[in-house]
Amino acid sequence: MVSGDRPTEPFARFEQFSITYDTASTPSLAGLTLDLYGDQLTLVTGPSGSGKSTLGRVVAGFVPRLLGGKVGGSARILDHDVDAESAHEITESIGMVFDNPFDQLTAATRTVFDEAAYALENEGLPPAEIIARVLSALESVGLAGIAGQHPRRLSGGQSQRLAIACALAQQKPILVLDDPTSQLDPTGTAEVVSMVRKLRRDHATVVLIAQDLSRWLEITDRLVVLDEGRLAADGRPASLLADPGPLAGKILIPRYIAIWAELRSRGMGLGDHAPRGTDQLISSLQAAVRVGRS
Amino acid sequence: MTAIKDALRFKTAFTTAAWVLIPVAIGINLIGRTFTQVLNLPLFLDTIGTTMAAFLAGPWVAAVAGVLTNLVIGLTLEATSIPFGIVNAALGIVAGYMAAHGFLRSTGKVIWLIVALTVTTIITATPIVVLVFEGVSGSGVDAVTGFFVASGQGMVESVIGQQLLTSPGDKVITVLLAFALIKGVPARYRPPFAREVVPF
Amino acid sequence: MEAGTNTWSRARVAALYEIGNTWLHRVHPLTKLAAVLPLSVAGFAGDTIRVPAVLLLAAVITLLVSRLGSIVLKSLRLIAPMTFALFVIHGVVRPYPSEPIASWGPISINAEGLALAGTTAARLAVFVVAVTAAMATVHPKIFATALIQRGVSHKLAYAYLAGAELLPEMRLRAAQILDAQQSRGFDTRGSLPRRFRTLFALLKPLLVSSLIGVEMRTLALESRGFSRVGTRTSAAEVEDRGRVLQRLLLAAAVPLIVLAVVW
Repeated sequence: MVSGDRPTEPFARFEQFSITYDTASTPSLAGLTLDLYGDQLTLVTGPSGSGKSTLGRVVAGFVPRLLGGKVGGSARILDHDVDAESAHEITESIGMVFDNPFDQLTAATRTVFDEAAYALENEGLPPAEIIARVLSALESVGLAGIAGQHPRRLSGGQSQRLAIACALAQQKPILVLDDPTSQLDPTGTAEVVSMVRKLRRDHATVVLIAQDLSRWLEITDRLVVLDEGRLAADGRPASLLADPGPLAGKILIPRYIAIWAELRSRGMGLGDHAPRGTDQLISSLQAAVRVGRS
Repeated sequence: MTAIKDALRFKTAFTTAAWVLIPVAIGINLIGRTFTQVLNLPLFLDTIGTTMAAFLAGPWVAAVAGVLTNLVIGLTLEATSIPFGIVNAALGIVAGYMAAHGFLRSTGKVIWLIVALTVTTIITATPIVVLVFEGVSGSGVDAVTGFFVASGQGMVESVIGQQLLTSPGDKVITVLLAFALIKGVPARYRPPFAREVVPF
Repeated sequence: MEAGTNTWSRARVAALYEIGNTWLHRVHPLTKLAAVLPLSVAGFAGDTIRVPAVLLLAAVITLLVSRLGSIVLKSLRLIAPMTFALFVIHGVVRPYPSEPIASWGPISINAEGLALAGTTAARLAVFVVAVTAAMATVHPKIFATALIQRGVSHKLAYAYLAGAELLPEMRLRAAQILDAQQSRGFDTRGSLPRRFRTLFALLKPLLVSSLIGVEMRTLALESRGFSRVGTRTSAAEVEDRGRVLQRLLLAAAVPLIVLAVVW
């Protein structure tokens, strides 16, 4: 698969999939039919309680295996049924980064190095390989210089990069990022965004869950919008957001798209593709102004 | 009801979530103890975490949390706490079993639970305090033991007397604080065992 | 609230482990741990202070010569309040049939009590010094790795290590909350129940959030192979040695226990 254009086989197939947690009265996902493909960044969004986090946890093989719940329909991830005994194999192949930078650390290690090595030790790899893999993973997230530091002394952004490094060290081909910047300051957010950008350059498959789209659209191949556990929209971000009206209330429309849509509705010729970042908005504005002058 | 059965069976009690809960229980045990030091209370409150673990995940998980609390404190801070791991584990087992058998369902039953925890403390702690430490603990309650000793009581009677005076209050506060903590945790974050046995 | 502030500062004292490269650091961690048992049991042999005193003296001299005086200090700090209580309860407060060796008014000092207090204090000191010396000279991760090598469940090792890590962390965070509150004028004059409630209200969010965090950490650990069946390795290679010595040390404890009980 070279790009997201012509995906061959989906790695995740949801068919009329529903899940209701044991402590909930309404389903978190209801009748969801959706395929997810490799070598893409799929951005899953929706209001709080829309089921987007649950979707991420199903993809990672956590639900219903570890968190329980009543399942309807089917969901197969990497050819394993999420409701079957073998669902732990899903978890073994999919990396997960959560929103809370610290609760997702083991809390049992004293150095950044040991934290990233923990999973490889559990896999029983030879020490030399563990060291090599961990150092290269820390290198690629820019933490190699502080490998000896205590994980709790990290900033939120560094901690999130460490969580990414843990998955990289395990050489997991697919990453689920569950709102990885929602608890970070602007510096931390920028660190994580550029990290994910780099992952995509290396063709990592990413399922990104986020409420704030603005930083992510530029690297998003596909946008999935959930609402009350159901699929509300699905498509390429530029065409899906070209008419953001129907999505208002379901997603946080980035300011650059709101401005673009407003100017377009007032008759400014800005094309049919919504900008995926402030830079794109500016260049299409500049182009429009140039056309207007000539 | 399978949740209760699973938690009562040693083989099925130790889920990953249980293993993650144990260090948190250890931390809460320690915080409770520091709490009494800050307020200079003649109490221990060093089993809040164990008690809470017993209500959340049953007797075996709580027993391991109890033993490990004293091992961790013993091997990283104060060696003298190691022998009392037996007391901590016994409290976890009693609290967990009674929780599984519905002793959290009414105030009357909780009073029985507190009585049982007090008796457990006396039965398990007295031999350690008397045989290993000759009656002292290095904390405020030694004054109470000293009072009994001065009045001519034997060491065993003095230690039991001291525990009869201090332990019930300690257990009442411990159980109430464990309840208060669990109350703060939304139902969906509670382990399946707790969903069955904790009535609030 | 002087006493309180003090307690919290003391709470900040880090864990036992001290980086170093003395001969004791180089002894296999389980050999050190195994040695604790016969040493402390031996302290209970005989009912005079002689055996524990000799052991204690030997241990203290060895540690001082090995430039591990900090271990002696740490042990002393721990044993001091107990020793004080022992001397007060047995030497001063406890009534004895024999004549006191000195008395001032209602207070009288009894030789029998002093001897018992001294013996008990020395016994406890031997145990405390042995444990402190064993644990202050091994990195927790090396300790856990050695245990896993000998068949201890890696899950149990995880709980131990996480407990050992969370402990100072929770104390620190609690101390920060309390210090911040104190600097804003923590209500110190209120009644005890009132102060109790205030303090608990301050700490509760920290404790509850650590409970809520359990779910996410569970998933994160699952994602990192916590439940994976099979052998485990360690990036920190610990040479597996001293098995015979460790067994001998543990075996030596058996006759000593018999001796301690019979004697």
